[in-house]
Amino acid sequence: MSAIAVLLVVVVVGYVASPLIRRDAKEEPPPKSIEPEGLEVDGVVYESEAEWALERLLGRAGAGVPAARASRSELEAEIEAWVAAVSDERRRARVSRRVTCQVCGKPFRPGDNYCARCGHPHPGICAHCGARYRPGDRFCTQCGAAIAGGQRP
Amino acid sequence: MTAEAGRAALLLALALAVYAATAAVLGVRLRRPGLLQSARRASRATFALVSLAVAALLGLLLRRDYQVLYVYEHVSSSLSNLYAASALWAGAEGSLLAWLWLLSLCALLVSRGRSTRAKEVEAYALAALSLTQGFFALVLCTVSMPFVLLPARAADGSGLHPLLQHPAMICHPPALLAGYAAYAVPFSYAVGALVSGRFDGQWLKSVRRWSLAAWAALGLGILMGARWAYVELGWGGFWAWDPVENAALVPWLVGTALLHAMAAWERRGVFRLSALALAVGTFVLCIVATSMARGDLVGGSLHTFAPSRAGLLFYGYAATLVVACGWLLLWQRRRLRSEVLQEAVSREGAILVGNLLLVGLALAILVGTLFPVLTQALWRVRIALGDAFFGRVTWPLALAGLLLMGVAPVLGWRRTDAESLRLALVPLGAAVATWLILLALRACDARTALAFAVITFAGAGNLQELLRAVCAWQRLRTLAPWAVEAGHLHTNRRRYGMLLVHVGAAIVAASIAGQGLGGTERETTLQRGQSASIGRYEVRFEALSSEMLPAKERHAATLGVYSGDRRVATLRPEYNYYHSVRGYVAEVAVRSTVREDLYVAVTSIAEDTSTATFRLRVNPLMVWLWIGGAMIVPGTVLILWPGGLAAAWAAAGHLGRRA
Repeated sequence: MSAIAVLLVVVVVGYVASPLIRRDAKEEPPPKSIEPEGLEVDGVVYESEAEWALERLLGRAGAGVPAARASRSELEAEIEAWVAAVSDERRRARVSRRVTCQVCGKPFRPGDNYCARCGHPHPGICAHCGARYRPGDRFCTQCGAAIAGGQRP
Repeated sequence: MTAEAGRAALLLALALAVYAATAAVLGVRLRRPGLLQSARRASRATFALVSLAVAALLGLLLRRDYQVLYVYEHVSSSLSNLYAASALWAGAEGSLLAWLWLLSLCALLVSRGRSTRAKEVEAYALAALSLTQGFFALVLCTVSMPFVLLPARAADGSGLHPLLQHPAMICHPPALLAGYAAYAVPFSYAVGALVSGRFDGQWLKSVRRWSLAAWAALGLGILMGARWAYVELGWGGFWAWDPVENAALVPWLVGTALLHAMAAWERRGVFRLSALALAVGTFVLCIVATSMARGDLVGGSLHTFAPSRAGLLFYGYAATLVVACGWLLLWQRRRLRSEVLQEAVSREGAILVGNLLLVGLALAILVGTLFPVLTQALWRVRIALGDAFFGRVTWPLALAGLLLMGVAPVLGWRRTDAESLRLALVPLGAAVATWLILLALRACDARTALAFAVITFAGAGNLQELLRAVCAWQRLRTLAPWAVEAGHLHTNRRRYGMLLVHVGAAIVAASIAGQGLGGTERETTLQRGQSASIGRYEVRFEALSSEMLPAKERHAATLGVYSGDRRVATLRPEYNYYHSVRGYVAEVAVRSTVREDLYVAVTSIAEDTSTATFRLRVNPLMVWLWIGGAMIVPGTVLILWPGGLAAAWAAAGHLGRRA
């Protein structure tokens, strides 16, 4: 019995302590979020364009600006135009958020600090200490080094 | 050896939980990913060890190892294996172990499913969860150890109490415990957000899902407990305002307020402080409920465990949480200030009033339950409040809540125009019609008629909204088919689920109010061949059979039920003598129809078995309580089904085609 208990303790301690021993321990990659991004219209967050359009049809959602109540056909045309516009905007936003490597042009994946193809650092990390910038930072919050330009991570 | 393995696993789990909490906090403070990863691994290992302890206790119960005190006290050789396994949560120690196992499962799922942007919050949440696990493991290792050995092996055990040998009792405690344990996740995230100061809501969606799952599990647990009380206790009702029942209802009510506050936070960014306070409050009340079930503080309950020091430890833990989290909320109150409501007549305005009503209702029930303790402390005399107090307090608050539930679906976020408000005229018309019809028919008193009018308003308001959403969806399909394809599963399921649950709540309320529609009760002694009438039924005592079984003497009466000249049912209530408890336990017989239940219980049998005394009851609309309550299941499944993936895939496919 005591031998089994000792073995159990050794296995558990080994499993738990191994990330501490490994010098190259890195954060485990987080699972991809399956939640779609929300859509904010007129101060209210909707889960999707479809939900906003449905709420608009039900007479509850705003159109972005307080407007006089539209007729049924106007409302339907407005929804169609809105849904198309919002989806284009979201697509453009998604594309523009993708940061590419300044040397080889390969897009960085979320969480990458270095280019997977050429090893060049991500433009959103500090060249001195490797900390990530936040949008709008002018100095590194970890080491205080100045950040050239207004790069976005 | 199995018991020793279980004890060792619990001790190791205690050490690991404390380590996980420390490593998570240090990992995030010192920015050491290795420490954070080690904390997550410790959390997973804790789950494995607690599972080992649960498996050990289960093995001991199934093997009937009577050298273990817990096994000796809760199973016997004549007990079936199913009930022997359910004895895992029939005792104070076992149920605490099941609590810890479910808590560890939640911690495991939380440590696996991380979002990308709120690492700090998640690390502190893991620490809070691990500390909670540590507290439970500490209680189990000290005052509530399930693996205590007897000096010698007993020949047979005491057995499970006959009242607990019912299918509802196999599912009721695990459902309650699952609800309590799942509420630890919103609590932990609230602590994580308060400590780290991150209130951006990145973690809100997943926590909302946890809150909903916990709410549904707790609701189902309460419903199954009510069903057990109805068919097993033999007094004819389903809710006795018993301290342990109330203790489970109070966190459920506050958890309902939490769900609504989270929805308002997600949509409008308002009620952040109250959502965090409600998340903490719900979990604290779950801890209080656990302590009420195992302490003798309130007393007088049908189903408390034997008093133990564990109950006081839980009260101490709850008090510590209140002080610590109260301080955190005060510390962060300036950062949590949200936008002032622009219009009172809006969805968030309705949520604010509804939440005040829900919390008020919960507080009233809590104060009523703890009243004997309060009066004992203040005036050295125990004064208990009865059904009349609870009925008088809950009735107006519940009706006000139902009124809001009927009108809220037509209100929009931020503002509501007059045309939307006019939609409430349809349910209002239905409510007035119901009121007038009930009064004209003299079917009930004015109070019950008013309750039915309000319930009709609530049900009709939600049904109308359901129909409007379906019609609007059909229109939208012709306007923007791709948007419908992308958003259908994700968007409308949540809406339909919410409306379904609301309709279910209205049905439950109708069933409860239905007790005022001519329900009757009588207790009568009958000889064989004699009849008694109740409501529209004639009940004839036809036969009584007796037999000796290993665990009990079984006495089953046969009753013919007639409506007019027609025989509509044969009921067989039982009155059994159990050797283990040296007493009689009644088995109720019920004839359920959509209109009413005929409820028959034997209360005594003459020694020569020629006469028997029966409790006969007619409970109007009773079956709707179970139907309405069970609507929690489809409603919650509809909301929680992982459709986000399908929606994201469909949206990506569409965007790809358009690009």
